[in-house]
Parts: sequence; C-alpha cells; structure tokens
Amino acid sequence: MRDYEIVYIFRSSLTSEEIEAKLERYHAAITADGSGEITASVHWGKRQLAYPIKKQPNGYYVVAQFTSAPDPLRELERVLKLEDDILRYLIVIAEHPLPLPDPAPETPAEEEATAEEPAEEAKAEEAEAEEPEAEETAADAPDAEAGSETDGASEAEETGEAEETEEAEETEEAEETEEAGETDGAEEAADEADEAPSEAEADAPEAEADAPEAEAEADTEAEVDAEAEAEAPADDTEAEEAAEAKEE
Amino acid sequence: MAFRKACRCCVAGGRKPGVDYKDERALDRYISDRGKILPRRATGSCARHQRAVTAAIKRARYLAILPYIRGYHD
Repeated sequence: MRDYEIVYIFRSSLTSEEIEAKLERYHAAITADGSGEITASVHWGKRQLAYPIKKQPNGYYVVAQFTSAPDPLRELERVLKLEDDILRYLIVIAEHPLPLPDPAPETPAEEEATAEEPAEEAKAEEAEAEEPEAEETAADAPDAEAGSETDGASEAEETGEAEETEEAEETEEAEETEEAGETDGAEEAADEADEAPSEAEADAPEAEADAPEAEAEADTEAEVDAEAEAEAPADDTEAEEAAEAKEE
Repeated sequence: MAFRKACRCCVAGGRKPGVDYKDERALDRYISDRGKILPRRATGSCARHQRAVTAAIKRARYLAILPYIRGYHD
C-alpha cells in the first residue's frame, strides 16, 4: 500500500455533476476491494491550459490522493485510458499533503474576460496617448528637417558657387598677373587662395580675404569678381550661424 | 573565492522534497522566459533539489500547468 496522487484534466465542457459521477466511478476501482481509500480530493476548477490539449484551450482540474495496492491502480489506469472526456491524467506517488498552495483557478472564462478588457482598454489608451505625441514629433520633424535641409542646400550652393568663382578668378588672375608681369606677391596670394579651398572651408574666407588684395593689384574685373566672392563667403558664414542657432 | 548561494529548497525545508509540481508560481522561478529549465548555476539549487525541480517541471509541463515553450506561439 502506498500513497498516490492523481491529477485529472477533464474537458471543460462537462458539467460538475458529470465530473463527480465520473470521479465516483474511477475511485470505485480503488475502493472496491476495501483495501484502498481516497484520502483527499480537491477541485481546482476550470483553468487555462499552458498549451492546447486535444484542441481544448481549457481544462477542468481535479486532484485526489489515495492509498492503493498496485493491482487496483492498474485497473484504474485501464479505465482512464478508455475515457474520452479526460484530456490528461497523471498518477504519481504523493509527496506533498494536498490542501496545497492551490493554484487558484487563475483564468476562468469570466474572470479572464473582465481581466483582459481593462488591460486592452489601458493599452488602447496608451496607444492613443502615444499617437498625438508621435504626430507632434512628426509635425515638428518636417519643419526641423525642412529648415535644416534648406539651410544645408543653400550653404552647399553658396559654397559651391563661391569655390567655382574663386577658382575661375584665380586662374584668370594667375594668367593676368603673368601677362602683366607684376609682382610675385600676387602670384603667391593666388597660390594661397588655390590651396585654401582644398585645405578647409573654414580657412577659405581668410584665403579669399587675401585674394582680393592681390586681385586689386591685378585687375579691376577681378576686383568685381572678388567682391562677389567676398560676399558669398559672408553669406555662407551667416547661413552657418543661422543653422547653428536653429540647431541649438 | 566565490561561495555558492544556499539552495532555496534546503533553506526552506532541509532534505524534504522540494518544489511541488502543482505549484506553478514556485516553479516559475526555475524556468527561463522561454520556458526552459534553468541550470543550477542560475537557480543556486543543490544537486538533490535541482533534480527534484527538474522532475517537477516536467510533470507540470505534462499537465499543461507550465508550457513546454513560452513566447514562441504568441
């Protein structure tokens, strides 16, 4: 004689009367010859299965403890295996006394429904709450992007133009100075101006600032270009400053 | 020198059987977020109780108290 424990999982579609009737029939197999005894029985009730068994999402759990000789146990198992309304059963040697930390029927259908609805509502609310923010940020973003893009574009154009004009002038300048046979200083200035754009844009204005002096000596046409050139970098720096201010 | 944490089951009840396979909440401590049984290095269990925990988890899985895999089908 040993102490055993059995867990039944019935189809949750059964009524409690049907389940009681079945339990009685099974337990009769234990107690029939008078040796075995049902010592405890606990109904957990309807419970959500961790995974579907026989396509059923829920099951009705019953736990019972009993003492039995080996032979009635074999008979009980034979009966249980023939039963279609039992999704699953487990017979083990009892290790823990029964009124156990009863996993309270955690998800009966009604509680489930009521429990889930508020959660969903809460989620929905959260989602709603989040959406306006997202819209706001989205609304903000285009402005910021548009601003930065236009700034960047204008900058790029300005610098591009400035460089182009610069190069053009320098080549002209160099030719003209050579032709005119004037001082080396102009050529040096031109060389410096040549190097400047490739070195760094930030240096460019300074180099350009030097260039006009050389050009002033060189040619009046060059001067006109130089003025345009001087203006362009100025716009450039302004645009940059504006962009920085916006970023801040 | 690192000392092993005391086994939770031993602290609670000495050599008595550890976790009950019907106690979902107690077992939850011994499985990963994917439903896998955590190793002893993670649970801190002694060898005896780790074996008991493992057996209990497998029984609980069979009875659909615990999932075999968690977070895969969801």
